[in-house]
Amino acid sequence: MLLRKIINTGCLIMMLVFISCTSSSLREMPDSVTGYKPIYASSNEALKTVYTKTAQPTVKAGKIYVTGNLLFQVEQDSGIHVINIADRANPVKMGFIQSAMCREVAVKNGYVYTNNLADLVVVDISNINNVQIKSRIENVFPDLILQSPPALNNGQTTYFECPDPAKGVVIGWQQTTVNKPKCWK
Amino acid sequence: MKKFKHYFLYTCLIIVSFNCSKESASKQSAAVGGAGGSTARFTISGNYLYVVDHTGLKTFDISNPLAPLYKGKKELGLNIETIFPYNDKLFIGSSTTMYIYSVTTPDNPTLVASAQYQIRMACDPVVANETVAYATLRASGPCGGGVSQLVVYNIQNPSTPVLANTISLNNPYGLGMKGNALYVCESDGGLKVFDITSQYNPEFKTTITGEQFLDVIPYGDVLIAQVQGGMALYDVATNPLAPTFIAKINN
Repeated sequence: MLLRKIINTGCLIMMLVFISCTSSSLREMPDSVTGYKPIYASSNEALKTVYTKTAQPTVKAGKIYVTGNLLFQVEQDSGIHVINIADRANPVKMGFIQSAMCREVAVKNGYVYTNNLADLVVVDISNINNVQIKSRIENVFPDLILQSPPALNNGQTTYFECPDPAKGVVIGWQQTTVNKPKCWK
Repeated sequence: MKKFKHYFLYTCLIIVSFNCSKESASKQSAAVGGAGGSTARFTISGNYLYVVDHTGLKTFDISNPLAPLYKGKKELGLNIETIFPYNDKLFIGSSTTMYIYSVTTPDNPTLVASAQYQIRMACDPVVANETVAYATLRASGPCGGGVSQLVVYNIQNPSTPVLANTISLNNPYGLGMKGNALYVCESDGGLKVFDITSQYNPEFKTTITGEQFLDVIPYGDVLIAQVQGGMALYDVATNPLAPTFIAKINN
């Protein structure tokens, strides 16, 4: 079990390295270039809360799920829009379920199954104005939240400072000048 | 040098998987209680939540939502991207392969078959019923082969899927089926509608434009589309082969 854990961690680190960090010997890396550096969460604990917010505009539209007259759409990295489509011609946003690093959603019997950081969380939505985490299984989806920055321009190489897992969860990217970047995509 | 080549290929594979998962959408099912899009990584089948990460299939017993149980992971391979449930089967798409798993023993899914694509390294959601599986292979992007396709498998014998047809596409993402209609998202190329009355020979009918289509859930009278910037609803009650726009959900 421990061995498995070590192997898994090793794989993850390798993925982190190779996703983004191709050995500079394979590519001429610029000394200084417009790129991105990671923004790290100051505390993971603060991100481990899931709660209702008022309806939010859709910005980074993600995956969708439907049950009954409720439609769910992931807002990538931040949560889930809840929309009532009882009146097909006039869908109404009911609210927003805030969950850091949200990528996926499924719903059954009034419970939303989603990720909060790398954890599976089960969220009771019986009162949509005050959703509650009912259970959590920690760190079961480490590779679903791997991060790389948005592309700078279509087709152009994006250079960035490699994320350092030791510094915490990457919650965003800041466009900046990066010197001798080791990562690109 | 050989070593570098290997690393480079690996990097490429990962980048492909990244690009796919980043841009695509959700899950779809005939299961009572809900449905997702074809590009989902989460799906619920019975009292189980199945999740694909980049390398395998994870099973959770959710009989008691207050105390879900993690039952373990099946290692599948690299670049696993999507999962789609149909009855007692799970259809899993990777960048190279369609896997069919049986969940007759739901806490321990078993491999029924795997079918390797002729195009390697594509983004490939799958939808299926008892007799046919459709997958889109998007080969554009940094590591793709450049030719995108809709592939059709005869799965009347699910342990030996037989490639029945391939149809050229431009830039496919998610897909969905309802009755005799198959919907294929082609991003800014629109939503392509195929007549699948002859299920192994989809016949192109029309393209719906006006949105960048990423995934769809056919849901009774309505086709729910994940589009760039939000969602859009289309009426498919009147004629599934001619979806008509109802509403857009963004702000």
